[in-house]
Amino acid sequence: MTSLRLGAILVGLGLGLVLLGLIWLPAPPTALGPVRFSPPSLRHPLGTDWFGRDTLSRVMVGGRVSWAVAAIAVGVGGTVGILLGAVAGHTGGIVGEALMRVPDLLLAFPAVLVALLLATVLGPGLLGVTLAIALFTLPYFARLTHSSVLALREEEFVVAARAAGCSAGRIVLRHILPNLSSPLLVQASVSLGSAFLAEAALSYLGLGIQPPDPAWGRMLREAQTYVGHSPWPAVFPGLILGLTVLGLNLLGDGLRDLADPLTRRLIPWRRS
Amino acid sequence: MLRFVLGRAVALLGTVLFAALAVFLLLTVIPGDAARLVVGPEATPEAYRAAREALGLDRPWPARFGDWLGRALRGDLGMSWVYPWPVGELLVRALGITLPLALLAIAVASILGLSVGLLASSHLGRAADLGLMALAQIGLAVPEFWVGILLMGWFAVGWRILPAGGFPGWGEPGAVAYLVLPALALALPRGAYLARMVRAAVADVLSSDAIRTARAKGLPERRVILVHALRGALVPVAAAFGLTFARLMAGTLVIENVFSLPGLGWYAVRAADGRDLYLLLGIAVTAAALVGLVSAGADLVYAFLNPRIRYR
Repeated sequence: MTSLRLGAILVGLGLGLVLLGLIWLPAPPTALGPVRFSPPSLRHPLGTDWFGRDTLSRVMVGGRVSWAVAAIAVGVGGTVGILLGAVAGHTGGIVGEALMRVPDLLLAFPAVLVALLLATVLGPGLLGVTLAIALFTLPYFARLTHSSVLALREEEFVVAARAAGCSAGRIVLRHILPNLSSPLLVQASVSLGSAFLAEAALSYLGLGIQPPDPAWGRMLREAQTYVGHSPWPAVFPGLILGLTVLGLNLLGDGLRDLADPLTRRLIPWRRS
Repeated sequence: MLRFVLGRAVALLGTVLFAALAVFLLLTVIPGDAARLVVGPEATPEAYRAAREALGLDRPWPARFGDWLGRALRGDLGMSWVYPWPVGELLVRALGITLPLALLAIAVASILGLSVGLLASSHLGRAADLGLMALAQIGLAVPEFWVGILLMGWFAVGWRILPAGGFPGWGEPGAVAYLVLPALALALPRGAYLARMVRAAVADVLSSDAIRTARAKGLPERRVILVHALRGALVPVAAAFGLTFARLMAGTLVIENVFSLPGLGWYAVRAADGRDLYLLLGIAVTAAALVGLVSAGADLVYAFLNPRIRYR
């Protein structure tokens, strides 16, 4: 339970910071300032970078991109994955097995490589990055849904629904998928964390939103050049990113325990 | 067992072939091709057409893919468009950095994961377990390239103990020092993941009858965990190992760019910038084959450790 609460707090704080940035920022994020490499101070709570830009403001604005890309990628990848897994599981047989080779193939490619390939085709913007992360999210949802649908397909309530004349789509959507809501929620939480990490890595490599607009990965790339001079610009974007991912992972763990009270009761140490 | 191995080999071959075809198709739809890059924006249409012909870009894609495949099977992966070398030669050179880096990282991650996981599982539910698992949660959440940058700041730029990046070539003495920081950065999240897996698997086995018997025999707790529980836990750990190696490969592609190591990931970024079709194809096929090989290997170990899987 603690991990659920701690995760919710961390995610809430991270998201709150980004949402606050929509209505109020401590400084304009692209405005050059007179003090370069300021350590954390009252004026600049997270310090300033090489151009004297306020790191806190840039982190708050950069977070918009991370949250948007992660949410859209997991939303799209998750939906397609669930549909693919459900159709493959419900169809079964050779067709179902063949459909499930698609997520297997996607897993054989590192997301970074897919993103680089898409960037050569679509340009280095957000579309390619989001698509690459969605493709990399899809297999996990497809596999989870597929195995669960296979397991549930012969359950009595599904057989009863079929006997009552329900269409295949209705059976999957109304009778099978609701039973999967908690594992899918757990997967969504973990996948969001991975999506944040992937987005940051790709923006570090120069893909995604282009300068001077800030993104967490790009801020780290710029900070790397001067890391010997001042570590502060390299510390905070990564720290906020790490805390957000930590929160999402904890949230996933907590949800899993919540959905599965048996393990919590039988294995006391899982409670932590 | 032989059928199992053959099945996996065919699946691997199919994956690599499909990967090549997918990348080829994706890259043939690119607007603005290599011929334009070769001749420059001010070239006459005649020069552009000549360059297209020279590069073989004027022919339909199935013929070009067939050509590439036929030559690839004979070991010729084509010429790079960005670099003045054959793709095969570039790949061998890049693998000479990527593979040692990945192996070093997975070795560190395994040692880290096994020792932390075993330590935690021998203190299940107590403060040491909670503390170590909290650390593993943190290790799993931090981006590896960020850890790389911070390590570089401290060890290379600040204290000047290790080199900050680049690679002098394997002939130079102390070349391996250039791989230490990137391998550490890569190993941290993977080690944290393995530690969680080891702990969960050992905890699972510890509640079994076999362990009750071992304890009832009066074996010391260390022996119970290191010999009896660990053996039972190896099956899920082998599965986790295969998955984590695939993730590690992806991490390698990024970390090479942090430390300016000319491996697969470094060349992938440059090939994507230069729309270097054959180099990108080569890198994609190599990466898919590597990930496929490792997961097939993990499956084999898994099948070897757990006979029930073989006979499905």
